[in-house]
Amino acid sequence: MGNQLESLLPQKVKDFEKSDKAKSFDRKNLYDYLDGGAELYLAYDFQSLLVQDYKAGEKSITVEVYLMETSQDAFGLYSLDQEGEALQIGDKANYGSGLLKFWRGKFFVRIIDMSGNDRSKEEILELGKDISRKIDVKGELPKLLSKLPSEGLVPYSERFFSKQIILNNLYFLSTENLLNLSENTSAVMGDYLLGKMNLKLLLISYPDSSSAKSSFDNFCTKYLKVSPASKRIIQKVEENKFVGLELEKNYLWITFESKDEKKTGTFLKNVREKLR
Amino acid sequence: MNKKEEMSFTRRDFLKGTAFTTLGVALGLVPFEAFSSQGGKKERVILIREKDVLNNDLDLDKNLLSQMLDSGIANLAGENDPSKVWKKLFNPKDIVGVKINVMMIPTHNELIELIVQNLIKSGVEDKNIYIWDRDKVGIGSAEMHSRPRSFGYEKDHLSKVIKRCTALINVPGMKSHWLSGAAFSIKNWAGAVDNAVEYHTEDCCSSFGALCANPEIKSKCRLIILDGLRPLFNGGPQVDPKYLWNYNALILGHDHVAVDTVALKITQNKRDEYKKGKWILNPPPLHIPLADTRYKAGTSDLNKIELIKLGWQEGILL
Repeated sequence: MGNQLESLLPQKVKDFEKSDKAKSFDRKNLYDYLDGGAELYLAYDFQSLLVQDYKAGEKSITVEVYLMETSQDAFGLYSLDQEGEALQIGDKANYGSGLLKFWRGKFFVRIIDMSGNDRSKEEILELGKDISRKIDVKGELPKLLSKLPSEGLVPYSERFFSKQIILNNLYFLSTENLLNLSENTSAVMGDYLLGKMNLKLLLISYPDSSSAKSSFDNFCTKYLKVSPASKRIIQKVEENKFVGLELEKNYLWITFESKDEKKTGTFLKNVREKLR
Repeated sequence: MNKKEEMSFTRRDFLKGTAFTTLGVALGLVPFEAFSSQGGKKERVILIREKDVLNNDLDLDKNLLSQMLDSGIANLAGENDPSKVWKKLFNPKDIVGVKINVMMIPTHNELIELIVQNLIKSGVEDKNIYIWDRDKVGIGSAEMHSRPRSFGYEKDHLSKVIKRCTALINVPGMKSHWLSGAAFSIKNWAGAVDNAVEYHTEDCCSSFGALCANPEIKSKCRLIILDGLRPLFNGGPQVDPKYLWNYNALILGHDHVAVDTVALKITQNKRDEYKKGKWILNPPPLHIPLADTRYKAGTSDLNKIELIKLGWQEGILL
């Protein structure tokens, strides 16, 4: 596997040359490189990682090439933080403050100058393009992503994941896994701007309708402290905000941070229509 | 805090202020007037900053850093002469373990060098200073950066360095952390055990406090020097440089929880400044208040912390 990843890396880009030997990591020893950060990658079904430093005088760049089990996993990792300058590298890319991140097929790539400035931007982008060109299989976006209503969706805010620990990193809900998130579920989260109102949408696809229903019930009773009497519930919570949730077949969707009950209801309905 | 609250905790509990109130204060969800030196006994924490210690090219002025360390440690003890404080804290017979951090936001080498120099000046023998993280150990000034040795771990998972040492200094970095919310002095001890993965749990890593409450660590750790020169305020441990900033600070104390509570307030305030609005750490770093309430390892109550702010005040965020 290490050889496959190494073949993606050029010996030299402009004045930057490989320095030291590349380091390889797999599921068993990723912790040696990332400490607690390893859990994030393992939650996205990480397979292997190659880390290679490049140097040009006193300047250095580090390349991290992550191979994931599926292209959806690679996109999921990429999607967690898309803030930055959007670029045409790989399937999706962004750059900011010395860090290029892109997703291509089953690969997630980070190229970083730890100084945090743009002194090596040209070389970083060149390196990214070079690596991307050598990955010939384009990635597939998670199908669930297309179910997010497009109206009001804040650009680059959509995130894809499966597990509870990722949800709690994006939007802490509970120390308990109230929504029964697991490797068998798929979830997308998006930020919306509806007029002047912000809202977050969490849309989850379960393996079957009974799993969705039990998660709906669990969330109602344990989080909202209400009875799951109907398939759509809007509940006023702290800070004068509304949490809305709705259930249909194997889908459960929840809105957070809304300050308007009526708009919450309309938005929930829009999601349902998008799912059909 | 009752057991139920510790086991199951939701965003709503947090916002209602019915649980982890001290954390709510640190994250700015609950109002907090100001640090005060009035009232009963308080845990002293020193925050010292210098504008020119680290410049935009990341060149570090070691002389200034040395002055910061001197002033910090003197003020922590309420003394004028920092060398007296080092001598009070460490005696010539001590074997001192300096627990640094090498992951992602590593402890600055210059800070490690200054700590080793001060230990030697205070009479500790060079061969009795162990600088380490995980199982990479350097003995004395010659090995403090290469750390070529490996000592292994005891059956209780603690590093054999800890067992061998009579005194410890904790020198963590300062970063947010995607799984535990924050990684300051409490979490730094995860690099001193061989079962750290068992502490990186889905419940916001609630049990990290057990590490600094471990009798071997608690009884031997005499000083915490948090490297806040260039902290990370989002993500972590993996670094996105746009979330790094030159804070140019050291935070010193004896109480892990108090030091981390101050570091947390700074980190949260930096996040709010960056987003120009509330941007609460996700997940909330529950391990900090739990180190107080569950493990009795120190105080997370800002009202019980005497914070002394020294040096550069602009952008201090507190």
